[in-house]
Amino acid sequence: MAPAPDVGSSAWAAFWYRPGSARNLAAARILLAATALWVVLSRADLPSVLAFPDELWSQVSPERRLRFLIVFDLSVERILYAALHLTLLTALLGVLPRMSCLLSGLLLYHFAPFETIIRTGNPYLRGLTIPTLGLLVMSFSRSGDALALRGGWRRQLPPPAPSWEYAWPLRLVQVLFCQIYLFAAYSKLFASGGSWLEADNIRGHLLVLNQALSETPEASWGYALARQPALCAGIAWAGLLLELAFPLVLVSRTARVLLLPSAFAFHVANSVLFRIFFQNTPLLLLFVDWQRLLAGRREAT
Amino acid sequence: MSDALRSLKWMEPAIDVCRLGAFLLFVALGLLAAWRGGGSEARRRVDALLVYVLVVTALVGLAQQESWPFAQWALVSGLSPRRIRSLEVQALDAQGRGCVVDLRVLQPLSPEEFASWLYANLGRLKPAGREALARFLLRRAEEGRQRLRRGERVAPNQWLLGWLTAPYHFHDAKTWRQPSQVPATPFTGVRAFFLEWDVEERFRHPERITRRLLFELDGAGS
Repeated sequence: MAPAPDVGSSAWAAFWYRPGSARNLAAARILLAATALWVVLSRADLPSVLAFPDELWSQVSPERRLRFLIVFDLSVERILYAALHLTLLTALLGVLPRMSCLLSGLLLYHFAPFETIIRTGNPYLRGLTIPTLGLLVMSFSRSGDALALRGGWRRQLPPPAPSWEYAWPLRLVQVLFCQIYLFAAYSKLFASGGSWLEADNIRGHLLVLNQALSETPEASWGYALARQPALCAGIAWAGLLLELAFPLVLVSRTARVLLLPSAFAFHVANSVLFRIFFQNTPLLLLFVDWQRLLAGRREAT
Repeated sequence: MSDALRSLKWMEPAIDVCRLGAFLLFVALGLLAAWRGGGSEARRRVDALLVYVLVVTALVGLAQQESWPFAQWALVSGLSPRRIRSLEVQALDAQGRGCVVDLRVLQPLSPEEFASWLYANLGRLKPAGREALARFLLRRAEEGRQRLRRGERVAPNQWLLGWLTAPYHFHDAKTWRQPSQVPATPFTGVRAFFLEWDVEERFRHPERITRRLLFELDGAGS
């Protein structure tokens, strides 16, 4: 491990380099790999998109193929897709953790766009954006020093002492996760201004999404809510305030206690009312202090 | 500003290469940060990575222009439209009877992705292209019909995890639930429609939907 430099007194150093726990960083590795593996196992034969009619690929430029290295034939892509499953599993278990995370991140960067490539090279709503970045960050760090088959799990080694090297990678992934909420709020105001908060707008979204995505929109919870203008306005304000406030979880334990359950409820409500699913909901657990939780349980027993 | 940037569509290929560069620089800085070394030197390399990520993500987020995996995170950010459309595919049996297809048969492509592509590109499709798409839809519908008749799952994505499968961002309509919803004999033709409606009008009168035929392939395969 690199010698410990002074954390320093600047806010920058205090935020990124205050010594952190190896277990918390390892838990982030496990959460990112498990979430990615869940999504990947939920996309059957993703490389088969290559075999779809040529017409569907007609607007994909050579530069876009190059951007994501979509240059191999179907048989090679299927081998790589199988390899992605394996590297995600080894990243989760902590087997050759740095190499597993690096390969997982690079393969996710390659495969995630397959879901949208015929239309856009921006698959940001498909559940693999944070795992792609996060697993690469894990590969740049000592995320395998705890909760790994080669270490603590097999021989029950005591966790390494807290270090700045365990702090910054977890903080960076947490910042990237918070940006989802912050920029979601910003994008609403950027694209629609204050009109986005009006009850009619929320009612309209409820009707549109349930009409387009439900078999029986008339029986949906979204329709029931659309009949209540005051509730529609309340939901708009509550949603926007939650998104704006969410980054406070980076600096306040109280904010974590309040905002993490609220965010979970927010995603459940989005799924039920708006039929919008957020595949990264499990990554809210990135903000749990696993070191403290595990130590507390050990003391209790 | 966002509209101005979108108007530079002709620059998209060059911008895609720049986006690749932005990603590769992230990986390169990360690998440098991972390099073993002295305390303050190591910290400087990590600082460079952190500053780079913060600058890139701030630019992407504030300009609302993607450089995936650095995302702009626009989520339901527009105002709700008055009129919308959705894709409906009907498969035909040998007697010409239509059966609305469960669009989950398109997986691993999501239905909304296919519908969005179709809306953007239908005008430039030549007859041969429309026929190729129709044959593709027919094959997918028939494979789905066969799976349902065998008592298997319609959605290919559910091959392993079943109901625990991660949904797409938008929940799909689950049109086919029972084998009795599809004919026992193979599909031989297909029709694709855009269904279009006024949102408020449909709220009051659910039947007020107009159908626009996009293309069809009849039972004889022509």
